[in-house]
Amino acid sequence: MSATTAYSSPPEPVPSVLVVLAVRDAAEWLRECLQALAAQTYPRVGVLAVDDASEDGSNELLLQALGEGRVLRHDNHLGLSRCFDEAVAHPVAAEADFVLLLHDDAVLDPEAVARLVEATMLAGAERVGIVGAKIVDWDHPRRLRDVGRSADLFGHPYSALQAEEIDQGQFDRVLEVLSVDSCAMLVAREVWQTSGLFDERLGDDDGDLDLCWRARIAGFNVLMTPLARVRHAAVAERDDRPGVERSRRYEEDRAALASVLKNDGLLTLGWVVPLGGVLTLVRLLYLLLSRRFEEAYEVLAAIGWNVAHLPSTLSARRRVQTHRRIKDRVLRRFTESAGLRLPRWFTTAERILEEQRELEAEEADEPAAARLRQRTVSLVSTHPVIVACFLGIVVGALAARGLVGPDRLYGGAIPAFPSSPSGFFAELVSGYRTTPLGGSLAASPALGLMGGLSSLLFASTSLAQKIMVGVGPALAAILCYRAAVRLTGRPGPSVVAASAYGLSAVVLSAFSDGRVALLAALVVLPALVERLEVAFASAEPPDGRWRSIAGLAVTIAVGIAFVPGLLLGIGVVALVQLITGSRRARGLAIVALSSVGAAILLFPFVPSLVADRGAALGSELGSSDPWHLVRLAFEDGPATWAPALFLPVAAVLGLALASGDRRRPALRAGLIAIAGLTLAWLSAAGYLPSQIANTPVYVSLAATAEAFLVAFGLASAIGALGREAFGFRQVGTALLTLTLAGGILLQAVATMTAEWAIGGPDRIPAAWAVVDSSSKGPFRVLWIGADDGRSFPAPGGDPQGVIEAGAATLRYGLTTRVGALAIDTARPFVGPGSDAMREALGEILSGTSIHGGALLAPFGVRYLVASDDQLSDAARTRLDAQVDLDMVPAAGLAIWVNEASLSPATVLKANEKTVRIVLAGQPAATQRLTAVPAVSLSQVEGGWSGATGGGNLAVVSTEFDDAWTLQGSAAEPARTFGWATSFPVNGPSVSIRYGAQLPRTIAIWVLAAVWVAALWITRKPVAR
Amino acid sequence: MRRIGRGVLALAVAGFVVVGGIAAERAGPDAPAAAVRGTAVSSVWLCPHGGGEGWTGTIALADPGPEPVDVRLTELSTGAPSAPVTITVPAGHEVLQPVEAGSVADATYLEVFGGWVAAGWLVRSAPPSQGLGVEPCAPAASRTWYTNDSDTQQGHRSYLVVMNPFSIEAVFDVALFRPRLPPVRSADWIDLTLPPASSIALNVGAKLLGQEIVGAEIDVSRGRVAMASLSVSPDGGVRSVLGAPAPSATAFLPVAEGAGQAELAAFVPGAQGVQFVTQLLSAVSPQAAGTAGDTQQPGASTAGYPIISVGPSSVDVTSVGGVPFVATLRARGQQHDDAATGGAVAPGSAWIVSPTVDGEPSHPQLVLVDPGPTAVQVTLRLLTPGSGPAGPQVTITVAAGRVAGAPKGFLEKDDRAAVLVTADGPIVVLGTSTSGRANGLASYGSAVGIPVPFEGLGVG
Repeated sequence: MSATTAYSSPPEPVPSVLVVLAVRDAAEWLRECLQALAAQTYPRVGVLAVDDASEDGSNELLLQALGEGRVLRHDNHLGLSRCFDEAVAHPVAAEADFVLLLHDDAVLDPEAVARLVEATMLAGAERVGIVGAKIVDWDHPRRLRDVGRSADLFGHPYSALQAEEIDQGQFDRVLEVLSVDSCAMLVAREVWQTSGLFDERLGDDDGDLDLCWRARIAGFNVLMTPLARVRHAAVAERDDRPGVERSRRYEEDRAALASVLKNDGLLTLGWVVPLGGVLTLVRLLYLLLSRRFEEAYEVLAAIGWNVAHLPSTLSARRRVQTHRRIKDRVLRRFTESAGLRLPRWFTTAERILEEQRELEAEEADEPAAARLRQRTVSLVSTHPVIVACFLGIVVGALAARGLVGPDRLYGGAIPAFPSSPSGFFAELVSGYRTTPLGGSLAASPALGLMGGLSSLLFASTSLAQKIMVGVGPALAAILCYRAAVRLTGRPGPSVVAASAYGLSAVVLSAFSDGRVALLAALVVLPALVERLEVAFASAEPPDGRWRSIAGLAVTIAVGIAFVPGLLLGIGVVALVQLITGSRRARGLAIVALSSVGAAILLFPFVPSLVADRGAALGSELGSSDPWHLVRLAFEDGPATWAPALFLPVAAVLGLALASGDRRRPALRAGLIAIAGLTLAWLSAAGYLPSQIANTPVYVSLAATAEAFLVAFGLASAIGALGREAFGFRQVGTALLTLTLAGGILLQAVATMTAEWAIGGPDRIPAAWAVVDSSSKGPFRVLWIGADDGRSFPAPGGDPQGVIEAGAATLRYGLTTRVGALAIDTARPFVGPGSDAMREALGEILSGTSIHGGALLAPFGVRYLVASDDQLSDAARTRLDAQVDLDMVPAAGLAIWVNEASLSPATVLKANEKTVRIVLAGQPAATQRLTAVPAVSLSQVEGGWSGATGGGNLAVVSTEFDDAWTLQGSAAEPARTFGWATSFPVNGPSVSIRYGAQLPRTIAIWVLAAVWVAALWITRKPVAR
Repeated sequence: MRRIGRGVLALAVAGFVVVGGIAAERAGPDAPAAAVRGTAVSSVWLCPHGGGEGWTGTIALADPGPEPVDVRLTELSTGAPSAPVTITVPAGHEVLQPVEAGSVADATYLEVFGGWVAAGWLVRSAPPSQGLGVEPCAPAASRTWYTNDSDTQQGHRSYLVVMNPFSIEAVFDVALFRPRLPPVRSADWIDLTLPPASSIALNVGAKLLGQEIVGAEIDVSRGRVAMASLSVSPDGGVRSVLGAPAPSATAFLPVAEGAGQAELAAFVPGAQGVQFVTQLLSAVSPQAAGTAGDTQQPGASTAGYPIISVGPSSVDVTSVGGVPFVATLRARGQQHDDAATGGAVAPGSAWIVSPTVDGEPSHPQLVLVDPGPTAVQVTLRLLTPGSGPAGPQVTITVAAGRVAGAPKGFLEKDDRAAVLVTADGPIVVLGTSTSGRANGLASYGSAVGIPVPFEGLGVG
């Protein structure tokens, strides 16, 4: 055989590739895309284009480039998925070994097709079903857009790429991935014939993960080859195409859930779906709380879509599972490393650690101490919020270690939550007050929030109680940070200010005592002060005037719903702003309109706020020791010690350092702080009328203002340090830094090691068992103590009023047998019943009457309880003189039992004399009451009912109201003991109901609608 | 300049805070308003009068005020209490209410509404003896009581009548004191339990025999009680002395004219011994009263000191150094009945003296003591039983440091009446009488006056 006639075997035919090009209004990019296709080096490439109803001449371009037979045209827009599905159904596709799905805004490198095909034949790569390319940015080809992706457990795609990551060859190897971008995706015929192509129900941007996943399940490999490079404009993500309106969150969530339901095995579904449900719930809660209602709606809409399309999903699932060749666990290696969607800041934490490792490598030659110092400074200055969050979590976790557990919290002044969320809603809707002495004052809308929170937390009110208390300080610090950063524009100083605020004595004291309402006020105050500052500032509010008014109204309403006295704080701030603000008229108008708005948002509650000339605004709490108040403590407690002075001292230094355009706001903050402290002392010392005396609110206001002063001072000082010669600023900054560092550290240590007033049942005084366990049936407890501004021993809560009687002056509170109730949040103890009880106490403390037991009997008081060390000698003498109050031995508590007490609802066997006493309505008559045979009634929804036991007079310890009815009888209610309610009864049973429920029900529904509207107006717009 | 100005501002703020804090600390909190007197006036009287088989008892209720007053009366004994009875005492008058006294443990509990009344008891032993015990009731219960009129010599019977009118049981200890020997604390008189709404009589002689003067201390650990001593002589004479809720450093012990020999019984419950300073006030200048001031009485002991008096007198006793003690003045009657009084710890300007007369004929007396440095104008008004116009009234003057009696014939206008005694200075008053049998000397009773609060007079 000669060389000229040497025999050679025919070359193996290369696989054929049909490029399926989906086009829609792509005139801007199409030409380049087509040119790139024409320049492909691969020998067996065909092109089939699908024009999806283009109107910009794209169709003409295609026809010109490819000819009539290779262009499919839609008259209406059907979407990418349909385009591709239609193309592979075309007869020409049946002859192709591969289809290369290509977007109209993607440009292939000349070797791209060849490299993609080459990857399917790599040694060691079996059953390669899909190959993707290295996708780079159209405008900046050195930026990577996609190198293959994984996903999390819940079907959301995950890319290892950082934003705008530069291609430095770090991904230049063939990678096995879970999915690749469909902008340039090589799909083997066997894949689409087995698993089908795109699920047309899913979005155009979400079908690629689903397709690749199905391919993987069917046993195919999915690779990314970096040798095939594609430039992609990703027009759909940038919304460059006219007329496109889409929400990525909704489509991604929808597609993720649909993919999970189709592709996961049954066993996997068994735990992924519940886990995903929990995370979705948390996410929804976050979105609702941050007023991202539209995003929350989209989350729900995505779930709803999947529910609506469940039949088709199940049908698709059958097909997928039929072709399953591998188990889910084999795909775990493509699942995101933590197994869950990592929050952004965990990702940031990872990045920080990486930065630290790089720094360590650079500093290897330096001494360890210097390295540590430099790294710490670098870390703190670069990522102050992350560092603060991390430290805050550590401090918070240690501080809250005693609060963990299934039981509710006890001790301090924490109110008892109802056993179920419906308890909150029932009280909110109730036409009458079900707590001691009744009346028609409406409950605070705060109950709706607490009930809603409890409902969200698996209908657990004890969990809600712990969350509200445990999260309170952290939330207060977060909102302080947000407000400070808006005012100063500097995250670092704002973080420090927020930390100081969160570790201030007033916040920690509120946490220690479980003062849920005050914690809510502390959360709201920074936002309130900041909004008022913005209202009076020279620049227009950034949200616009009306959104600003609505936002301020909502904030005021939320705050007042928990602590009505916050109105006093708002008044102080508004007054300071009126005196010193820039745009007083505008600010005043905003405040006025916001107040009207807040009143509308609280309208059923407004009568409760104004009752008894605004008694709800005042508080009997607060020590009159000025040195306590200066360190922002209105009572003793953990972390209210001398180091708590760090915040006021730092505030003074901050005031001195504030400069430039921060100077006037700092001066205002200083005025607010001074006014707050002054008013706090005047309140506690009794120099202010009770309606405007509220030490906790004024102290909280001072704390907020001082935190802002710290932020202003630090923000002014940092950055100007290097520009000035050594002097006042440097010294001041050093002092400020030392003060803050030392104070925050000491407060943090105190927080982590403190023994809080709240905790388990051991926080209740042991002597309380005398009351709690020895008596059956319903009764009330009258808590008493000297007027020293302290709360009562647990579970008495906070005082409701003060009776002035010289040396025998007492503060008092009336509770049920379980103590203070959360359903009485923000609601004042006023009304005819309260007035009558004050009169009775006055009779006792003046020494006029020594039949105090009989005087207190109509109020259902069975026990009077005081802390042994909280009762003045004069008051104790008066109480000891009462012939029908008997002291019982109880170590640590002084307890008197009232044997003449009546049950809060009872049927009496009353003789004529007793009836005269009951109806007389004068203490002079009431004191003659003796023990009367009686049967208790049970409290039910809407009233009371029970057996009469042969009695003839039903007496309920609730304020008289014509609306009370005796079911099955025409008997009218009678005013009893001057303020309560009674009915003459006969027969074996009695049922008493409130007959005026409808107006309150209507009012609450209207209130709910008003809140929905307000929250919608103030929502955060969705990021599209 | 601006930086210096800011620094000055900061210093000024800090200075303001410091100065403000100091000023606030000095100013202190605002003083609370005084208590306002209410309209629901009520009070109680506890009358542990005791009794015996065949005895009779009377509660005297006197209303010195301008308005009638309701009194709810409940009788107690070892069993269940009686059903309460409501009595109205007319303004400016008196009601003499019979009560059960058939048992040594009998007691009466009074609840007063709408005003103030004075309450005292009279108990009479069964015929033929003419023993009479008269005492004011106690205005309040207490957790400690002291008495020192028990006599456990042969033939004498002495009881401690303890009452608990309240709704919880009372638990108390009893200690007995005697001259020159340590106190007696019997095991079965420790943690004694007295059920609610009941009374009990403790036989002192069962624990300590042969002592002329036995002092008793009751210490209540749970609840509250009232206590009196009841002594019965072999002849049926009765002495009744209300206990003292606390010892004091002074005592004023009036005694009537013609009382016979008197004896000052002193009881020092504390561990510290006492040196007394005594003074006998009478119609003439003050003089020493017996031998009480001659020796130091040891602590935790009782002792008796004979007193010689002429005419209506008063033994004023003070302890040196303010050591607290309890004093009783025993007065021998003309016949077989004696009387005793615990006196008063302080003078006052208004008193009500309960009637001390039982039977006719009677010789009522009033002993008016002015222990102060100035003369006192004293007005006496009879609060007669029943209703109608106010009783007769007379005004006398008692010289400083002297003792006087009611004008002759004044008390005889109604010897069953209580006497309202008002003065323009501090005085002490004792009501006393002999009554019964042919000569009106058979029964002897005396009771110190009951201090009247201003509001009881309808003033303030």
